[in-house]
Amino acid sequence: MAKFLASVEQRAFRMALFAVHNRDDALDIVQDAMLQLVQRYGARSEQEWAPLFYRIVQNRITDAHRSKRWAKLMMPWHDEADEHPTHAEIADTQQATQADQLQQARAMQRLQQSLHKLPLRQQQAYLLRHWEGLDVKQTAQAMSCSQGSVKTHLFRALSALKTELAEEWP
Amino acid sequence: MNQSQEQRLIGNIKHLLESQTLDSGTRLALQKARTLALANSSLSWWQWPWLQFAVSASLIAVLAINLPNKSSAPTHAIKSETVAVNYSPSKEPVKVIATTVEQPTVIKSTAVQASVDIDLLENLELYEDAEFYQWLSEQDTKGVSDA
Repeated sequence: MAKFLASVEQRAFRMALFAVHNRDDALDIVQDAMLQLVQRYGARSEQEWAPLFYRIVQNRITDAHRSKRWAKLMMPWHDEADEHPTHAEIADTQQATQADQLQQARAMQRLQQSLHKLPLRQQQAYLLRHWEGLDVKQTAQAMSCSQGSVKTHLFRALSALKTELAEEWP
Repeated sequence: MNQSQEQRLIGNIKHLLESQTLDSGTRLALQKARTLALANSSLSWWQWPWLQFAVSASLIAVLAINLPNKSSAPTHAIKSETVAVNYSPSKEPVKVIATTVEQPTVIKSTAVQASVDIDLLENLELYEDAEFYQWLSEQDTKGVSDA
């Protein structure tokens, strides 16, 4: 279990960060998902852990979105601008040269913007399928929807990303 | 979008996402979260199987003891038999009621026990009478055989 959690925690954190745009919220989501997986599904087989873990993560993300929507309704004057750390801000800057850093930071910013523009479900489907590497069935389990819905979300996400990132990667 | 373009785009995005690692503060926070989760990996007390068994067994026991006895069957039964006794061959036979009390096999509660005791006391006289008539019957039979 420790090995599994260590292998997924960083990607899960960044997925959560893409969705909620807040470092502390993303950390809470991942911590909560880890706790729940260990306590509730620790006895399950290892193959089931990934879809179950991401299912918990996605549910927490949805909860966070709901509570944010409520907060926005109740406090419309609240400014969320300071809650948007870019991935470049939390990236380890000591590993790359300065030129690489600049190029990567620009590309990353563009990608981040493109992913932010995607509807939440499309973003989730894309990241789970093409970044985490779950198959369509596991993605459907993690997103609590049908495999057909996953395919639809994936197609739309890919089309949108291609349009958005056409300049970066023609 | 054709297949190769699609794969290239996916590959580029994946490469970009993988190329960036998290800062040390975030990595440390995630490591702490993982350690905390694993420390809580033991089952919660309400998930212990023996505790669930013990709780259900004690509940069943309490229910079995405290439930009122709803069976309509009497705790004891009085058997009555009408026996014709030939007191004398010249006279009409005398009809005697012989009563026996069957003891209850299981007495569930003290209330039931008390009611049984009262019934037994009430039937004691009848029982003594039955003994008398039994003796009388034996005497009669004996008298006939002697004659």
